[in-house]
Amino acid sequence: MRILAVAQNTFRESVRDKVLYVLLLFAGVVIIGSKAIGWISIGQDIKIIKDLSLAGMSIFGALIAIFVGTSLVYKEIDKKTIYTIIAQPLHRYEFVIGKYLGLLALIFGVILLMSMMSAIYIVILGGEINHWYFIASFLVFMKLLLVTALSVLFSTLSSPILGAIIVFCFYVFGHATGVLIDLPRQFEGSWSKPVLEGLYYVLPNFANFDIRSEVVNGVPVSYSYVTYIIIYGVLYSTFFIYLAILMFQRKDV
Amino acid sequence: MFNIHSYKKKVFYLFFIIILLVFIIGIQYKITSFEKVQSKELLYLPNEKLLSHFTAGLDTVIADLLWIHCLLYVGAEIHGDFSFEWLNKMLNAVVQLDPYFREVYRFGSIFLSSLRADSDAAIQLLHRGMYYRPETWDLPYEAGMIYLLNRANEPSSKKRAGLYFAMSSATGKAPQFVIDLAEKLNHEHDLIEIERDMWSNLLKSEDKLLRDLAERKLIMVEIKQICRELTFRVEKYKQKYNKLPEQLEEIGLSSDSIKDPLGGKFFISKSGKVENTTILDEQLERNKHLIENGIKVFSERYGGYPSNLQELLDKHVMTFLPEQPYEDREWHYDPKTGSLSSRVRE
Repeated sequence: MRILAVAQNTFRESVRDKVLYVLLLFAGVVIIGSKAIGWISIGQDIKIIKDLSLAGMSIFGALIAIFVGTSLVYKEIDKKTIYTIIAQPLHRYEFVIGKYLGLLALIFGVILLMSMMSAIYIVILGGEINHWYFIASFLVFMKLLLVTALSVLFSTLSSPILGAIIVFCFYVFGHATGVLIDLPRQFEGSWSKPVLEGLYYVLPNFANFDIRSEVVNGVPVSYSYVTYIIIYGVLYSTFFIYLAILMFQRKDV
Repeated sequence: MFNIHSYKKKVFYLFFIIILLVFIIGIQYKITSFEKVQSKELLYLPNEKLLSHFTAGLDTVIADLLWIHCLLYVGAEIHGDFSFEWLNKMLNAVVQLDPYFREVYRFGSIFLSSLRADSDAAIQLLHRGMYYRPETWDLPYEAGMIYLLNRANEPSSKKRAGLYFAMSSATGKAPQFVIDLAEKLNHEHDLIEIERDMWSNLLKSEDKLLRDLAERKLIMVEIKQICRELTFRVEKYKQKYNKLPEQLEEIGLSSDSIKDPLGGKFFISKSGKVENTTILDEQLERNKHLIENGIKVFSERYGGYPSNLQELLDKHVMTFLPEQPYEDREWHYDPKTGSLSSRVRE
């Protein structure tokens, strides 16, 4: 119940954040404006709108998670409101989990809104939408589950600006981990090959969550793959949140 | 109260903003003219493999934008010096970023073969497309057309075209004219050698999946060759003894000497042909898909299933009914559900 109270409070607080509306506005403009790009694509306008909508959810959702997430705990410490909170009968882990769940609820709402709006827009323009479009949107949310957890972790460790830069770097390189396993031939037999391949399995792999190309081009994706990705997202997020709790418990506030 | 000083100030600010905008537009105009001169150098693209890794999850969006850039580039080259120097690199970058983008393979191969006159690059692009989108009929069809139109002078062009049209028909989604074309060309030419060459080339691919596919296809080619040679022996046997052999052992083969690595079995059909179940099963699936596709088209056109398979021909949905590859089996069609199966002939 106490976790829920913190989550509700965080949700209300985040909804008031102006950054959210600026990013939502940009996402809306990108989705609606994608029609213009589609005009010069030999009949590929619907495909381009779907691509841009799903990519918009991913990038704007990540920006919301990063900008709001990295300041989540830090702001409470900076404004000294943390003292009134920890004076309450509330465990520190409850505070961190509550904050995380509150922001997740906001991100879920944002993704739901964007996917519904884009689906309606696509249908109005004569395109077809099936359940895989919403599964792809859900996997975007699963990716953001991980980004949010990482943001909350850095929110307990550093200032919002530094945290946002680090998480953004994680976001970019987390999409590029494939390069670690796709090594050129000159790496054959060297000690660096197993090390880099090991890193591929350890580092968070955000590219796992992208089934956009398959969904937009009508290529089947197995449900077992989707299930594994969901489990991966939940496990990795749990790991980051656990670290965030440990860091916050050690913090001298 | 109207304040003349404040009014003058506002006019001055407005004037200043307009002057500033005029300068900005002028400078942008100058920059654009620089871009026009340097456009070819600016088309440099990084290594496609690296490009796909460092897009921060925006790979399909970048592929879309690059595809549009590619179309604009084609337009500019048509009205320019017609060299299409960067076309292949751009197309490969697009499909590296979005490997399932079917239209890029299709239109890209048309651009490469008809505008750049580079049919090798077009075929390579289509092979890549066929790997990622094996269910599409139009990619092998385009490859066949390249052999018929752009490589007509080559001695084996019709054979190769026939093979690609057969691949297109095998998807079960090809329009009737492609199926007819495949039948016509395949009757004219012996495709085994050409098929062996094609899969042998694919065996050199760096991609393991492609190599695995080529290995399987090469085994199937060998099985077809064995069937052909054994049928020849069966014919000789028939001429000598005036009857068909019942077992393969009767033509001097032990059951261990001819094993199908794909798990199929060799047998002698009633008409005296040596057949293999791996080949027949694949053909069965292909023909079944073709008829099922016809039934689907029929139901979309007439709002119900045909009462029998003959109706597909009578109402010109199909021009011929694909055969049941097993001699002792027949198609079983249920008009209530529109489902098709294969069963042993009664």
